[in-house]
Amino acid sequence: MYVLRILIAQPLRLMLTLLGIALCIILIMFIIGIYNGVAEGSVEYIKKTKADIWVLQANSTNILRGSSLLRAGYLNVIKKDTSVKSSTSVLILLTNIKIQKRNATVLLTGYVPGSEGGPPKIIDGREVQLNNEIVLDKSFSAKYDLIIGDEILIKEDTLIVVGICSGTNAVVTQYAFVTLEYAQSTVELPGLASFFILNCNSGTNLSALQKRIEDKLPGRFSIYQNQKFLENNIAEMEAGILPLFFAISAIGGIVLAIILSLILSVNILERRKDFAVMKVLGSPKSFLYNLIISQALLLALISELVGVILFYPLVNFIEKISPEVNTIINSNHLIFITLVTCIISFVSALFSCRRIRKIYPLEVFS
Amino acid sequence: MGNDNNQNIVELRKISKVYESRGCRTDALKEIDFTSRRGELILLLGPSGSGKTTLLTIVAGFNQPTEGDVYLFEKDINDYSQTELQQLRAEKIGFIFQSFLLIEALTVYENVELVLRFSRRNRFNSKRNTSDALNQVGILHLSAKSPIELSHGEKQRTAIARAFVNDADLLIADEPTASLETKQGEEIIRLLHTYASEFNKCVIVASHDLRLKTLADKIYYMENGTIVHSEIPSGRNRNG
Repeated sequence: MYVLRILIAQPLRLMLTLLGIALCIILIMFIIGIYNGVAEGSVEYIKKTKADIWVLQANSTNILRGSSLLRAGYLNVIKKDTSVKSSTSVLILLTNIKIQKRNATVLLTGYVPGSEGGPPKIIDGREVQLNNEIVLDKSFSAKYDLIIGDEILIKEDTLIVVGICSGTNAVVTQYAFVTLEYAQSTVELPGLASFFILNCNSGTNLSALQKRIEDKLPGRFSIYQNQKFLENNIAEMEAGILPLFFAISAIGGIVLAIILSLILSVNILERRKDFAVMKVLGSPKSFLYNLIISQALLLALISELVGVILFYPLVNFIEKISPEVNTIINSNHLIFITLVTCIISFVSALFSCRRIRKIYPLEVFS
Repeated sequence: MGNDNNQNIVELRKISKVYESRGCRTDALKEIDFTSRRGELILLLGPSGSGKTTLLTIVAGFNQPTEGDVYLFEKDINDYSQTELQQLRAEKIGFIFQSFLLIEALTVYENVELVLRFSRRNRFNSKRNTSDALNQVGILHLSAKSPIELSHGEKQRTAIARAFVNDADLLIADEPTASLETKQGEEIIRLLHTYASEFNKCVIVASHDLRLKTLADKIYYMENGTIVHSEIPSGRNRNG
């Protein structure tokens, strides 16, 4: 009761405090949301591709940060193995495209239409069928106001947008899907691929198959089973962005702790006489500490609520301005953020509690 | 520790208090002997700086004497742990101040009830005890008000209810009438006197308000840290 009364005694300060803490919480939510968005966008393509085995150039571990270039003809040797049910080549190139007079970069992904290696999910239109067709990422098309039927330029070639897909936004760049033949033509190397996707007959011993492929063309490939390849890409993605997001989240957390500590300390200083009176009247230390801790937790929880309420409209607004920004926050993340906020509040309160020790009962005697 | 009238609530033996700062020595109290029992209203009378408040802070255990012994409820104050002293203040000692020292964020009722939260013993029946204390000082109807809405007299009554609520055996009042007009001051004096006489409690009042003399059981005149004179007003020698 006392905690609530102290807080509402100065409504303007309470509002500013709640807003300040809420903004820190929004920042943390935003960073976590962006991280999840990047995580999904970066590996969704691999997750959704049905593959038992991925074959890359020797010494390649992932497709996110590294080039893998193979002769497409190697696939003819690999698919002779009787356990290979189906196989396909995919070529990924970082390519500049022109949209009217603007330039943009996409991860141009050439695949054989109807095979694996295409868009994870078409949300509008259809897959490519011809060499002058392209499927764009949802965020990319929103950013450049492209809709189905629009035209874009790659080098001197005009391609028509025939589909929009999702799960292909890696924030820094987005996937765009064309035919393998067209992708190969852009680099004038018809027999080029980035990797091969193999699907095997049921019951195939994948490790044995890996070994057989290595034995056939020794030293040329890095061969991964699907789960391992996914893990490689996730690890690469985390190594690239996680430290950055962690640092920003940590700054948000520190700012949150500082704001809370300052607010609580100012409250303690302003209520110095109240605390001294309570000490005179026989208040146990635990009662006073409890007041500060409850105050911190209450502030944090109300701010979290304000933060969550403000987060979604704010993110919608940001995503309208920058469609490539993709945030994903679910209830588990909210629980995690609530826990972190409570821990930060508790620690801030403990720091502030030290001030109470320096308030002496004698201060109230005239 | 029953409600024996001869029980010494407070006993000070040869208490001295010296403050030293930057080589400057100030004798705040010099060899004070002082005893108070149940049912007594003790008045410490003297001008500002005479040592009255220092004496009260020593009695309450907030200040250590430089020399001498303090006994509280017939036990050496040094034998109480800090937690025991805190419990003692929460359960057996009430405080009243010149500037009321109410917590403005709380209502009148909450200010009074707050003390009961500090006490293990008095936590039960807190609603009834709080209402009784407010009723005792005649401000039950002001329960929901904020202290900032009250007159000085009402504020002091709230402070008195806060001191009464834990049924304190010892009530320490520092200039309780100094901020009040004559009529309000007299009402407060009567309340304190009633508390001591009718409820068999010990009330120690530090004041320079001569009106209190009429209702005090013992009067100690203080000057420059010493008790220069003590008297028992005629007809008030109840405790021998």
